[in-house]
Parts: sequence; C-alpha cells; structure tokens
Amino acid sequence: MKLELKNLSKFYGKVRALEGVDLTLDKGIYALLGPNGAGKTTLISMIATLIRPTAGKLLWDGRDIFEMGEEYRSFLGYMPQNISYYKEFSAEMFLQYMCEMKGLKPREGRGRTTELLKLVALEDVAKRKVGSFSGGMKQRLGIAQALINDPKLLILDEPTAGLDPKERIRFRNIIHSLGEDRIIIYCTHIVPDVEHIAGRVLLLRRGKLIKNNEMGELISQMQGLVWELPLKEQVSEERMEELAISNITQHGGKLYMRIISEEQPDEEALAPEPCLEDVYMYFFNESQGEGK
Amino acid sequence: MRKELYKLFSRKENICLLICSLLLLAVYLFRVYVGGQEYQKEVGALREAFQGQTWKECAGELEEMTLKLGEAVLSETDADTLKELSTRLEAYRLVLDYVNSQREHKTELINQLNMYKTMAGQEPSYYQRAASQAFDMYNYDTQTHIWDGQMLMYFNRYLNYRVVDLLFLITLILVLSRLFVGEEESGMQGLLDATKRGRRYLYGKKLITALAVIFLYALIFTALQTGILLFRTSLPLTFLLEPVQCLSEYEWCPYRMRVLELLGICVLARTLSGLFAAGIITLFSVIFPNILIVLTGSILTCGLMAFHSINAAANVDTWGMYPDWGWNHIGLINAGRMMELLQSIHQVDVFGYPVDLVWLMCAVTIGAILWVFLLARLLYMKNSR
Repeated sequence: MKLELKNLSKFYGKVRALEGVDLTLDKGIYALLGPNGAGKTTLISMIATLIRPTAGKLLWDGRDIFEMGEEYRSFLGYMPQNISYYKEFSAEMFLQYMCEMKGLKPREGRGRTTELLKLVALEDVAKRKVGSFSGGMKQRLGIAQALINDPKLLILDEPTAGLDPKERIRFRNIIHSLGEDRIIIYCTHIVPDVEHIAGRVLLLRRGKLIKNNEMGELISQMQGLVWELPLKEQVSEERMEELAISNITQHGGKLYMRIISEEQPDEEALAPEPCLEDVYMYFFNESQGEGK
Repeated sequence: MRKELYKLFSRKENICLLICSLLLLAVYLFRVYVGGQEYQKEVGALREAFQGQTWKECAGELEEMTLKLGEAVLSETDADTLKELSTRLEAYRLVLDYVNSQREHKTELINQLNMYKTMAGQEPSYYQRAASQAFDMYNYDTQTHIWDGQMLMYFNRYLNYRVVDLLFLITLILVLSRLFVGEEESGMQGLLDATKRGRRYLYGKKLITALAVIFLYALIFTALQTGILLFRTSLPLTFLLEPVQCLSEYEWCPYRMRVLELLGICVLARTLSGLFAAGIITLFSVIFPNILIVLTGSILTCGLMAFHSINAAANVDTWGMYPDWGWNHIGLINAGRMMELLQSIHQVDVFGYPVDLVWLMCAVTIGAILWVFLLARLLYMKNSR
C-alpha cells in the first residue's frame, strides 16, 4: 500500500497551483497543512482523481491512478470541503445511495448504513431529510459516507469544520482507530485536531511542499524558537506583529503571549514545550515575510 | 434508477406536474365513461341488427335490396315516391359500388357497410345523408370514415394536435434538465466523481431514467389526448378497439390497425420525439452545466426546430400529404408529424431509394437512442477529466 506523487504540478493557465511535489505515502495519518491558496485542495483533488495534473504522476503501488480508474476509486474514501447533499434525501437514503455508488450490494449497503449511522451518532435522525440537518450533522454524515467502502486511502478535507468539541474528540478517536492499516490524508486549518492523531505532517506553501516530517521531529525542531511572555499591559498592534504572537494562553491565573522568535524576545520570556500550532505559525506567519 | 427517479420526483414542481397530468387523465376518463354510456346503447342497437353477418352476407343483402329497390322504382308511377325511391336506390348503389371496389378490405368494410345500410333503410333524411356520404366516400377516398365523418375528423385533428406535443416537450425539458445537471447544481458532482460508480455507471442509470421518464410522459400525454378526444366526440371506450386505417389518406396507407394500436404507435412516436429533446438537453448539459442555460437553451432550440419545420411544411407537399396549416409542424421532435407520415404514406424516398416507412421509423428510433447515448458518453467523458 503505497501512494507516490512524482514531480506533481498543476497550472491553471499561467497560475501555479502546485509545483514539483514529490511525496511517498505509506500507511498512517498525514496532516496536510497550509494557508489558503497553498494548493491543498488542488493536491487532494488530484489524489481523488477529480483533476488531472499538468505534469508529474500519481502512482498507487506503482500504477497510475488515472489509468486504474474505477479500481482505484473502489478503495478511495473522500470527504470534500463544504460537502453538499441532495436535500430531499434522508440520511439513511443518502448513505444507501452512496453505498450503491461505491459498488456495495443492496443488502451489504443496508448493513453498512446502519453501522455508520451509529458510528457518527446519527441513527436517531436516520429518516430525517438532510436539508433539515445542522452543519455538524452534515459533517458527520460526510464522514460516514467517506467510510462506506472501508477505504485504503481516506482523504478528509476540513472534516471537523462545524463540529462541536465533543464531536471533534469523537471524530479524532474514530480517525485514530482507522489509521493503522490505511493511508489517511487529513487536510485542516484546525491544527490541534491533527496534533493528537497525525503521524506525519505535510506543509504546503504556494504550491510547494516545504516540509514532510514526523510530527515529533517537526515539533522538536521548534525547540528554542517558542517563547512565553507574561502579558502585563495592553499590547499595541505594532508590537503584536513585531513579536509574531502565535497564541495567548492562561495558566496559574496569568495570561501569557506565545511568541515565535529565533531570539529570546524579552528577559522574562520563558521557553515552553512547542506544539504543532507553533510550527504552523513559524512557517506560515504572513506578517513575518510569509514564514520561514 | 429508483433513486434517480426519486431525485427527480422528490422535487415539488416535478411531482406537481405529474399529479396534475394524472388527475386530468382520471377526470377525462371518468367523463368519457359517463358520457359514452348513451352513445354505446345506440351503437349497440345498430350492431345488433347485423351481428354475426360476414362481409359477403352483408354485400349480398345489399345487392338484393338494391335489386328490389330497382324493381320498385321501375314499377312506381307516383312522382314523389319515385324520387324518394330513386334517391334511396342511388344510396344503395353507391355503397354497393364502393364495397365492390374495396373488396380486399373486408373486415374493415363491414362496419361501414352496416352503417350505410342501416342509414339507407331508415327515414329519408338518413338515406339522403347515406347517399351523400357514400358518394363522397366513392369519389373522394380521403373522406372515408368509420362511424361518423365529423367525429373522426375530430379524432384526426386531436390526434395531431401540436399543442399537446409542445406541452409534452416543455414538460420533458423542465423535468429532464435537472437529470444531468442536478449533481453540479446540488454540489454533489465532486463527491460522486470520486466514487467507483459515480461516473460511467451513474450516467448509464441517468440514461435509463431519462428513457423511462420520456416513455412515462409520452404515455400520460397520449392517454390525456385520447381522453379529451373521446370526451369531445362522446365516443365510448370501446371505440379504442375499432379499426382505424380509414382515417385519412386511406388508399396509400399500407397499415391496418385498431385505434388502440395507433395510439400505441403514437406513444412510441412521442417517445422518439422525447429522445431527440433529451439529446438536446444532454448536449446543453455537457457544454453548460447550469440549469438556467440548459432550460433556456433546450426550449429555444426546440423552438427553432419548430420554426424551421413550419416553413418547410408551409412551402412543400414533399411527403405526399395534404398541404398543412403551416404553423404547427415541428419536424422530427413532433410526434404528431411522425404519426401523419405513418398514416399517410407507404414509402419515402431516401437519397433516391424507396424505403419502407416502418423501417425508416425503426432506423430513426435506433438513431435517437444512439444520439442520446453518445451525448451521455460525452457527459461521462467530460466528467472523467
């Protein structure tokens, strides 16, 4: 089970969406991070065979995925960003429809539908029309449809957008349990979601893959670059921009500014344990010359 | 296909269209049933008198009566009676002449024969009418009708009434335009394209759904049209089992069929015209996957085709038909036009070769299916990217 991206590029006219991406994905969970316009959705769409690359190849166990066609899509699970539905379908009917589209037999599909509705806690509203669902319920249904064919390759584009904290934790647990024997590409802006479950992190910026590291390795690279400074007074906007504040945290009844800097910004600044958010801020801080 | 149909008919406007059609149909059929009761009694009484008779027996009886009338005319001296008998004799003779000239169509003629025989044996007004109609029938074959010339003229007119065909096409365009662009409109396209069967299989299903919907609507519209017709002519439902080949252009029409069979062919012809319309819708869906463009484009294209064939029909009588009224021909996408062709001619000239119309219709049907299939394939290829 191996997905290879070889010198992958995509241009829309003269606009570069992706350029020279080389990547090999084995079993595990991959967090795909990058700011808006970095090329995440383009990359995901190519892996989902929705668009063809301008140059380069996408290989599954050495075979071109576009030539594999239906065979490749039979083990692909895909949840797009801002997923839409047939509003007049009930949740159950929608999943059964997707079962048919994914090549499951009707009886098999019915069983799988019940199982998945339970997994995403939608069994009580199975007969309700999708049009009446809240954003979170729609997201959960989207996750369920992506899992229908027990995919070897699962692509999730912003899957936790709109989910409440409890649902997000539940979802993280589901994904974590699935990641052992398949490839999961998890694309998100909500960095803490992937911090707990992703094995590797892929950082994409302006269509180029700038980092492909183990989570721990990438975070450890941030040692000595993250600082925490007690927040004493109102900080001006200029100072905030100057300091590249990644977050404001509170512990021991005090507020702290979390700062990304190669040098200690202040004598009082402490060096906390870095996290993935710090990595994100370090590489994608627009105010700091678009990161490192 | 069930889910594709559900997708189409779970939309309120489509289900409303369908329910309205079915309700209208039910109302008309009920009215026809009630209105037809009395007429059926009259027809029943008329038939009873000649039940069990063969064509030969009828013709023999007619001949015998003609002879008797001839003798009566010769022996009569009173001027008024002589005039009346002569008129009656003329009616009998004309019917007999016509019957003898059309011997090969025995089974169909029996009904005409019975009617005119009855009329000629009745009050003076009846046999005068019979004589007049028999005269018309004898001299102008196109005027030949089964029961009553006026009623069958209605039948022919309603059967080819293009408004129904235009309504049929517009309904089809409204319903089917969502079939191929529905995914794009609802935002499901990307999701389905990433599934195993979301491309070729799905479009195959859509094609079958389109065919089923076209056939369903062709059936509903033809049934509605027939309902209106039967209601207007006060004919009973049993009329559907009558032979119909004498409606128009009798002498050139090689087909012998009942009204019901003719309506069956009308459904097929309408399905065929629906296929052409579906092809146009598909073509627009391939190029512009937007519901408004598909709707407007399809309606305008069908309108242009109609306009073109209006000119074609108004100028020439190419098909060996009576000159048309001009405004109502819409060429290949008009089922009524096809029906006229089918009823009126035997062979058509295709690049200098005579081709039987039935075979031509078969070829056109296959062509229409291939046309939609090809466009569905285009749609699939476009989605394959």
